[in-house]
Parts: sequence; structure tokens; C-alpha cells
Amino acid sequence: MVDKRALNSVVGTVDDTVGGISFGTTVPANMRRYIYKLKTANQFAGANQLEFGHSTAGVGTIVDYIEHSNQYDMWNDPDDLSEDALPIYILPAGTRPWGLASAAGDIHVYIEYEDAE
Amino acid sequence: MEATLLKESHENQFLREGYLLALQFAQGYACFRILGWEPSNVKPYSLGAVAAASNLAAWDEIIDANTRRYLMPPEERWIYHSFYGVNKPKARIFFQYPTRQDRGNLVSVQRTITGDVGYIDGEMSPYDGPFALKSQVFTVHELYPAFQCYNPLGDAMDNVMLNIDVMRYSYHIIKNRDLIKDILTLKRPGRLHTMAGIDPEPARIPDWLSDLVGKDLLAYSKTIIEEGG
Repeated sequence: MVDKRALNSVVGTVDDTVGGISFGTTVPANMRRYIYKLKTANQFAGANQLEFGHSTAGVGTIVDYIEHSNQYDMWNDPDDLSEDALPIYILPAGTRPWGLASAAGDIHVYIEYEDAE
Repeated sequence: MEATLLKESHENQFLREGYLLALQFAQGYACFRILGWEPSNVKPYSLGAVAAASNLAAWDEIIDANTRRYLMPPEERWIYHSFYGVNKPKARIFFQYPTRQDRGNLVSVQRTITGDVGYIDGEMSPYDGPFALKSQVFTVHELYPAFQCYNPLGDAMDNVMLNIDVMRYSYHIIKNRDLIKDILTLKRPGRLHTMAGIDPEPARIPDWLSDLVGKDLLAYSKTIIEEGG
């Protein structure tokens, strides 16, 4: 269940930097980060795959792959966030959101999430 | 399978005309008959922004722009009965009542205001209700609580707010010893309430109320509790 009062959001910009790029805050101890919405936008002039996941001390763990075929392709999941939605990704305590692009161009990554036990 | 916990509305806890109320202070019980009631509220009451993993700079006595305390009756002829809900859901509200007396301790040392003990957060007492029974506060003139907030998250909270539901009562002090005895021994339906907590003791009765009730009746109420009826 989505609690609108608990939602936070963050946007990160990732590219093909070796090891990927962490963004946002660290998930507090004894909690998990429940991600309810993910929106990405490919700025690279061509195909660009996003590896999305979480990182600990900068070391990334892939949770999902999101494909972009062309520049300005967007991935928006879900299109409409319903009140009874379940989280689409869960990040463990002590980690941060993380991403790595396959091409030498930016992908903007926006997430809405709640940190809770 | 999802389990749903249904909470009773805090509004059912408010007293009505004619109800009997016994407030336990450190010196004994003061017994009242409720004469009338008038609802009020403070919504929203902003505690302000709270940085990640941080507290408020100071305890907040829930005041207006002229530092008048919302939760303290401005006159001796009223009792306030309040409940509150919290926004954000993870904002941890710690409580002192009276001020500088920490409540919600569990072990032999006082709880901290950054720990996992002795708070009410917005999941326990949601901003839109139903408010937690343990958010209940009775106040009389010259006796008021203070609140502190801790943000346990890695993200700043832009504005922590309280939704405070207040019922203002007028009252008559009960001096009949038989009736006091019946109230304190639960032979007459009435509400018994400990003012502020029990560790190390309930709040001390304000001098004005002690004078109105009388030290002999306060002592008598203690005798009733100790000896039964």
C-alpha cells in the first residue's frame, strides 16, 4: 500500500562510468527501500541499456535491466501509481540506488520510494 | 493474506456531560464531574523541518505565535483532553510531561531521543486518524507537555506536523467522600487516568488545584487506593 505521506523522490544521472553511479540517500538500518515508481529517460543518441540496482560502498548489484532503443526513449513504470500498488523494487538496508548505462551517454533515473521496516 | 488491524476511533474516548473523571497526581486523585464539553483542534501544527537522522533543535511546547500553549488550559476552570496524529509516518515523536520529565522509558536509564524506545510515530498514530490511545493527554492549568521529534531516515523531512484533536471540559470538583470512594474502587462508572505517567511518579498537582481539592481529600484518595473498599 502506498502511503503518500511517506513517499520521497530522487533523480540521478548515470552513464557508462566503470562501476556505475550511486545516487540518493542510504537506506537506514533495519529498513528497506520500497520503490513504487521508476522513470528513466535516455539522453544518448542511440540504444542505451540501464542496469538498475543498489550499491554498497560503490559496488553495484543489478536488480533489473531497462532497455532504451533510441534517444529520448522513456521508461515509466507504472504509468499510474494506484493507492494499493505494491513496490516494484526493494533495496536492502545500507545500500543506495545505483545504475550503469551501456553507452557513453546519460540516462536520467527518477524513483519514488518509501523507507520502512 | 493481509491482516487488517481495526482501531477504535479516539473520539469514543472523549467524555460527556455527567461523566466522572479521576485524575491521579503524585499527591493523590482529584475527582471531577464533567459539566460540559466543547471540541477544538490544532491542524496542522508544524514542528518544522527535521534533517536526516536528526532531532528538532529544542523541545516544542505546542505554542501559537505569541507562545501561548495550545495544550494548556488558559484558565483554571477547564480541563483539556487531547489526542494527536503524526505526519510523517516515520517521524518519531518523543514526549515530556511535565516538561523536562521524559516519558516512555523502559530500562533503568532514560530513553534517548534518537533511539528505538518510547516514541509515537505516524504509523502508530496516523495524521488522519484513528489516533493512538497512547497519544492521549489530559492537561490542566499550569501543567503541559513538550514534544521532540527524531527523523530516523536518510532523507530530510521537510515539515513534520501534528494533528491535535482537543476536547475542552468544564467541571465540578467532587468532594463527597462516598462518591470518591465509589469512583476509585470502580463501583461507579468513571474514567481513572494517570497524569503524565508513572516513572518516577505521576505529575505533581498544581498548587491551585491542590487548594481547590484540599490536601485532606488527596490523602483520602490515597487511603482508598491502598485499602480498597
